[in-house]
Amino acid sequence: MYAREKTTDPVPKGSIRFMSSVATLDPQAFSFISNLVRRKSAIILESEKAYLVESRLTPVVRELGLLNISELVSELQKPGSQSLNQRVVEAMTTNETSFFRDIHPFTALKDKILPGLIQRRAKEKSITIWSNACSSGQEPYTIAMVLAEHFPMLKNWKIRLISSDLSNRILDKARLGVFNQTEINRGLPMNYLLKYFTKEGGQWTIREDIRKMIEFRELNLVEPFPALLPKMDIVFLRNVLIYFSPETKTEILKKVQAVMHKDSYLFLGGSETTMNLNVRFEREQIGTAVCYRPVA
Amino acid sequence: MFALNGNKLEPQFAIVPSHSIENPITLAKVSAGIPSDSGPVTRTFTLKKRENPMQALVIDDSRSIRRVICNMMREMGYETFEAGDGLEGLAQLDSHGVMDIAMVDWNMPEMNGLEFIRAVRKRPEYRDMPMMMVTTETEMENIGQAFMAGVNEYVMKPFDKGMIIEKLQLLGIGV
Repeated sequence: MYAREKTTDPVPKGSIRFMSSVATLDPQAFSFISNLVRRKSAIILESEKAYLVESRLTPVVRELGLLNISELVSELQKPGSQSLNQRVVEAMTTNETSFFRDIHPFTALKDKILPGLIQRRAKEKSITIWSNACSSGQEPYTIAMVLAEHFPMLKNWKIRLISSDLSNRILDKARLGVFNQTEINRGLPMNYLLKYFTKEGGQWTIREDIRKMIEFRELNLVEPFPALLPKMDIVFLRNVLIYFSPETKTEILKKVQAVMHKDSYLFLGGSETTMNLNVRFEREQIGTAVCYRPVA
Repeated sequence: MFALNGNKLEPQFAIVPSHSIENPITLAKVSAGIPSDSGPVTRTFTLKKRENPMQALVIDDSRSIRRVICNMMREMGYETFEAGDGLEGLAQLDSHGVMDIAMVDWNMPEMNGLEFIRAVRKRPEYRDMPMMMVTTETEMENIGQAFMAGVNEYVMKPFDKGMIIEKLQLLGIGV
């Protein structure tokens, strides 16, 4: 995904390590990194995110055998370092995620949204779902498992489950559908684990028919959307907007609305809203979930 | 152990725990699909909640693991009770009644976690109590065995508080 939520960051703001991070991270190095990330992804890293730069880039520094982030910045400025630049942007913007994250949208999907759409799309027999900033794939795989588990009648329908992320590197991982123990431990109900995964060594692999339900695509939300993007019935755009400026949020939401039907559904992250943005969405409560509907 | 019936995975006996919630403050609603001749049937029952704090029983033979889990649960507002093995766990239930959640290790002396789960599910008064296995056992066969014994969720060690919270949410008894 594009950004990790504040609450899931391993070193919270205000901790002792945070204080020392600020002291050790050279302000020039921070400013270089934040400019790079802003240029490539439109994500704004405020100065209090210094701890995030350190926690995300320290593994890259170690892997390259460098001494610190300042040395990494020197490497980034050398000619021919485009792929390292890309790597750093990805390290800064890739999200931590879990299966059934925040659970409520998936309950709404199962209990209300899909049953309704199945009625309204009975003629076309077609539903398209878009999982945005999908990171290592837990969100689209959750949607695919919910479809397989609760809506076997959709087997004869044209179901497109499009899953996109900024980072091709993370998409490669998502495409494999292989998860480690930590990932499996996060939010996956045990009956789904037993039914939809196989284990080999220390890795769990999702069932092939579930994996094949998903189309993975590289997509940068701040760039123009591909012309061939289909109209979406349900859009998951969760925990993506948090780090963008209000102007960029508005732009992204306008582009997203342009690929939605009048009766489509948009899910944002728990701390995100369309309020105070110049976009035409209406908030709708569905059970315990909150979603947004386009207003004509 | 498992039968694939069309798209449904069905244990050949025992209940299939699944999860839903109507009102997380006053009710914990647990649904169980019971395989029958006419296919899976959903049975719904309601656990009455006390007005005082939620209660968690933590069973692990390692005192330090118990302390870690108890601290996590207390941070979430639970009152905690501890046991060093399954027999002590049963004794705690007999003294304090049905808990909102039991967190159960697998490998323990006297009565192990799997035996505890089976013993609890045999007792009508505890049959509906949510139970979560927290264990170093990570093979599918183990997870399947625990599932068949009637455990509602499964966490593999090592774990963190976020993982426990997510599993409690699945059970509809989250914070």
